[in-house]
Amino acid sequence: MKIKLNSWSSVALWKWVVTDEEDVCGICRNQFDRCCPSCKIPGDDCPLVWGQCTHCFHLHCMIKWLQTESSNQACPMDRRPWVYLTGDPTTQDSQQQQQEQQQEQQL
Amino acid sequence: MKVYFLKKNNFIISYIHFNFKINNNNNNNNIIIFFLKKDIPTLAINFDLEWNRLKIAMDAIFNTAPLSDSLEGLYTLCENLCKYDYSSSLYQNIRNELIEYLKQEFINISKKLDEQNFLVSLSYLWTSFCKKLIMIRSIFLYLDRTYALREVKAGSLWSLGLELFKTYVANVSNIRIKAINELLALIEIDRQKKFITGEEENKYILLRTIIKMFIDLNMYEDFENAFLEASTIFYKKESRLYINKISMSTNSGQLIAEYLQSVETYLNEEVERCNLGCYNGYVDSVTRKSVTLIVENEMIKSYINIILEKGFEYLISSKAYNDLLRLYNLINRVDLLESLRIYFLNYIKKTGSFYVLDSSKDPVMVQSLLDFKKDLDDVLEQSFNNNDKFVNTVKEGFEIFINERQNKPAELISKYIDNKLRQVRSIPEETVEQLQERCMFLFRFINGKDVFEAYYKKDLSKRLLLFSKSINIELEKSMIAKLKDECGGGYTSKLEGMFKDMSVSKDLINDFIKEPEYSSRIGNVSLNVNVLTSGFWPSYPQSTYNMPQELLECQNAFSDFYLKSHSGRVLQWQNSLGFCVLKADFPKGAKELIVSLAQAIILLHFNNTDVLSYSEIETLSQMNTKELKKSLQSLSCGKYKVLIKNTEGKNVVESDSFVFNKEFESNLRVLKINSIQAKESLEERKTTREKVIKDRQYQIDAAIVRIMKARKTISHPILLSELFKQLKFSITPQDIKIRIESLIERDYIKRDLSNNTIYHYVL
Ligand SMILES: [Zn+2]
Ligand SMILES: [Zn+2]
Ligand SMILES: [Zn+2]
Repeated sequence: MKIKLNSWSSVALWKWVVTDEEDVCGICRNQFDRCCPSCKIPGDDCPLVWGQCTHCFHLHCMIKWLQTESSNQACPMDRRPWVYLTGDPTTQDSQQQQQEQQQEQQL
Repeated sequence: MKVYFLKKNNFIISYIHFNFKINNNNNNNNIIIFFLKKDIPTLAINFDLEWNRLKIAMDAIFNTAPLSDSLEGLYTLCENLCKYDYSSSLYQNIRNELIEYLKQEFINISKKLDEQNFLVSLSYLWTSFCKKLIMIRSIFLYLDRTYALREVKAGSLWSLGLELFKTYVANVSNIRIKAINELLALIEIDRQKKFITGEEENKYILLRTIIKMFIDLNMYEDFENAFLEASTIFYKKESRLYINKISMSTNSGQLIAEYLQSVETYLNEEVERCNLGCYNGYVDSVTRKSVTLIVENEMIKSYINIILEKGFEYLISSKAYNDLLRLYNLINRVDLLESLRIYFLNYIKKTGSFYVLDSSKDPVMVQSLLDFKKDLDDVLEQSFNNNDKFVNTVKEGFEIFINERQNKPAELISKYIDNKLRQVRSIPEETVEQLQERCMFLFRFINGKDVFEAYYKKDLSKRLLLFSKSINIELEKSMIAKLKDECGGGYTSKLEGMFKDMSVSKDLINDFIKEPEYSSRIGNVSLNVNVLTSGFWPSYPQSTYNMPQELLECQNAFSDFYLKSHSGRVLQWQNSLGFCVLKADFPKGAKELIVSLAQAIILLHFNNTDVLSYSEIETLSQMNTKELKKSLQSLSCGKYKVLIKNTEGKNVVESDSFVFNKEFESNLRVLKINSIQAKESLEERKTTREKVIKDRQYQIDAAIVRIMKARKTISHPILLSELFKQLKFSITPQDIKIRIESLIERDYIKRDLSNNTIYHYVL
């Protein structure tokens, strides 16, 4: 071996798993790579949450929404009862797509 | 009742002692003292005879001849005459004698009126008269202290003498006018410094004597008025001469400096002149203020515009701080500092624009401005007394010229700081800190602070990701702290986020190493991963390479480790960032090569063969043409030729092929070949600029939505004024109109149906 890799200082960017980079939070309408209106900086401190309905929001937006009377503890996008998704939303991607396809077919 | 007569010092004083009862109850003794003014004459005295002796003595004094009687005898004579009630006649006779004497003297002197040394004669007359008067007074002291003091309006013999002298000076053949004119002529010669050497002292004594005479005769005002009038004429003429010379000269700046110097000299001379205690002073100090005011008005106030126009820029740009101080002080005396300030401001604007607007000077703009600021600080300190108004003028000037050109100054200031922070090892820490402080002065006035932030962020990201080993984290943080102080926490939160990412990443890699499940997959490679939060960092173009297995496994192992504990996220590898350290076993010595990932990929392929053609490398690495060419060029045409290109020339073309350089040698053990990464390409700058524009749009949108959410309904002008208030960069109404249209399109707001200058928030 003439050439050997000794060390590597590499760089990676972490992003929220959202289908489209231009996607916005359904509550505050900010893009997901920006933070919710009550925060100043995006990232670890303003995390996203997913519901079992697969909709995604800023955690802070969701908490605020659920505190309002009109929320009825439902997802603001589809009015289904809001249940936090535990686990990795990435594995739900395929489910979500299937669901969407089913919905489209139904329509 | 007892009466006592006491004799004491020729004065006979009688005490009469009464002792009687005022009333029956009181037995007090009361003493009443009579002062008997007059002795009772025992012998008759012949006044004319006695007076004649006194008159002879007076004549002798007038003729400066010796006295025939002793002073004591004469004194007693006078005393006796007074006691015999001849005081009034005595006084009258003395007065007549004085008049007689002065009449003759003034007849004599008026004949010398046109003689050259008239003033000397007058001075002689005056001084000798004073001496004579003193002698006369000592003879008639008794009269002076008794009768003259009490009964005569004119008062003492001294006053009488001066009063008489004054009448002659005032009335005889224009002696007063002549004397004043002579004085003024002498003063003019003195002002021109044309006294004959050796004679100055006599001239000063002469001037002082005559002027003192005017003071003693209570005629100083006559002199003063004439003196001030002459001074006005003199300084009017003097300044006009200078100014004419200056306006015709090509070297007017230097002449102004000389002019100011001579004004200062004139002022000092006038102050000395108006000080009777000074060796060359002869005018009373009450005149000082008026005469210096004349110098100031005639020489400075009348020509303030010419002085500033012809002199200011020359003095300040030639750093003649002493001359500037003189200028400042002189202008301050005539209360025209505001004019000076305007010239100062214009100079700052002009000079600053010169540095800022000419793009050919961009490489030295920031250094020039910092040096300029330093010079101005020197001016403020050394010449302008650190006057607050002038200190603020510097700020005012900088704010105006630095914003005459949009964006570029902000970009260059960021670049300048970046450059210093990259060289922290060769510059002392305090110096860097000072430079930061000085750059903050410039930064403070920039309207587009978001432009600065964008460039600063970009430069900081390179420092953190490419030079993490050579930066000084304390200095980095001190700069952030300064920006935070200036613009608040919101401004620096993302920059601080970058530092946070760095330290979180350090913890992550430590955890990664502790988990053999993942870390064992990467072999002996020392891996570091900087995990960036996407909102904090500038965006970089995505580069995809076909990676050798060992590199790919590094990324996969870390991704698996990271995502296990961070659900809901993805990792995007930034292949154009970061760097690798390779160990290359050249036959003439092993070297450590610091290279970009792209360079590393290319070099690693040479482990299997010595020669690779361009197209082979392209196939193996799947790199885009531009990146591949750039990387190969830096490996084969740069300072360290690790690969040998089969053709000559500095550029790489598709037909080239490359050989691993077995002959490579270098004195250094560690070679840095990745410097192309650190250089900022034109595209990068363009992206940064575009990013700023996009960011501004986002900020305008966010501000509009914020306002609409609060107000629900708003008219166009009020919305505009709110936006101008909230947004920290300069925007045009046109910019805002475009954003409003876009928001209407996206259904955030809508126009009122009947009035299209009113907007409603869409709930
Ligand atoms: Zn939200
Ligand atoms: Zn938040
Ligand atoms: Zn939902």
